[in-house]
Amino acid sequence: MIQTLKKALISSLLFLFISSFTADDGDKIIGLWEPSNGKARIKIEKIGSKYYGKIVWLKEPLDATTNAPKLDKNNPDESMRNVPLKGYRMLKDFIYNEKNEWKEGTIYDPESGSLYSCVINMKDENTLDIRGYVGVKALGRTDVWKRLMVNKK
Amino acid sequence: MITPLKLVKINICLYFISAVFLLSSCSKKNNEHLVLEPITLSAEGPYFEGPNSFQGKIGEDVAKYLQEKGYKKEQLKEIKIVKATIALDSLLTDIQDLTLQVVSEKESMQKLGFINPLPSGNQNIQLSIAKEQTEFVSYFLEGGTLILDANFLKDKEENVAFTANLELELTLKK
Repeated sequence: MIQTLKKALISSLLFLFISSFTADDGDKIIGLWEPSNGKARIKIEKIGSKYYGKIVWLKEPLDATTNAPKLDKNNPDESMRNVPLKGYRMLKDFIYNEKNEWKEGTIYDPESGSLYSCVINMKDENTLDIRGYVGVKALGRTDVWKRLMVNKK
Repeated sequence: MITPLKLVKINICLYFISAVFLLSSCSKKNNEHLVLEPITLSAEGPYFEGPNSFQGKIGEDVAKYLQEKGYKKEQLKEIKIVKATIALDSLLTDIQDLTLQVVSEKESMQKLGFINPLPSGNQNIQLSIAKEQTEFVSYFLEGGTLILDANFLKDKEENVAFTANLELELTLKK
């Protein structure tokens, strides 16, 4: 009787340990990242159970013609073209699938105003493969993002 | 004298008219406005220069409204954002712009409105609403979260809170 109880206790503890581990495993993507062109820095964070990335730094923050902070001037919705690029959530709605992959998200390209389906693979803890595509994954382009270290006080 | 042929024609006409009435009454829709209870948007400080995100849960205002008015959830066909204002808890001078979005576990994140730049000396800020609005029913009926991105011009130590006030237009099928 005691042995059965012990077994049940151990298995439930083991289940709790595994489930808590997998639930937070996707959080390893949280942090500050830089695309290969070095034009921006993107902070990836978690809202609810999904992951989002917003632009927090731009190499050239000012528009060359207006000399004002860059706006989302290529947005297909005209009413949204005054939204500033700094702070823009270009990565949206990613779900972690426990295979070092975040999927079912989208990536927005402010330079064209286009929205693409996107999948993120973590090659190592400091490198992400970001693949944007239309329709089929094979018809896409991959960019490599590097993690930026932030000095914690 | 009404001939049988005329009678048939009259009957067909009557059937046609009643069918038109029936169809129009079936597709009759009602637009009603609802102002939601204020939603507090908060985030733990300190805040750093640049975009900081504040969150707040959408209440059950829409479900309660439908229940009070005797509508079933299935009768709610569309929700549009008519007006969105953000109230600041104090006169903040060091915020460049605000962007309000909505998200839920089931649905993707959608932009509701924004203001850029923030008008000075005003604690109630009315946002510009997106012209191309998505389908918002599930966000407001099944639970969603409002996300406010506030672009700070400098670091801020003290905690800040915002309040979102939303006015919706509900399209209900009678």
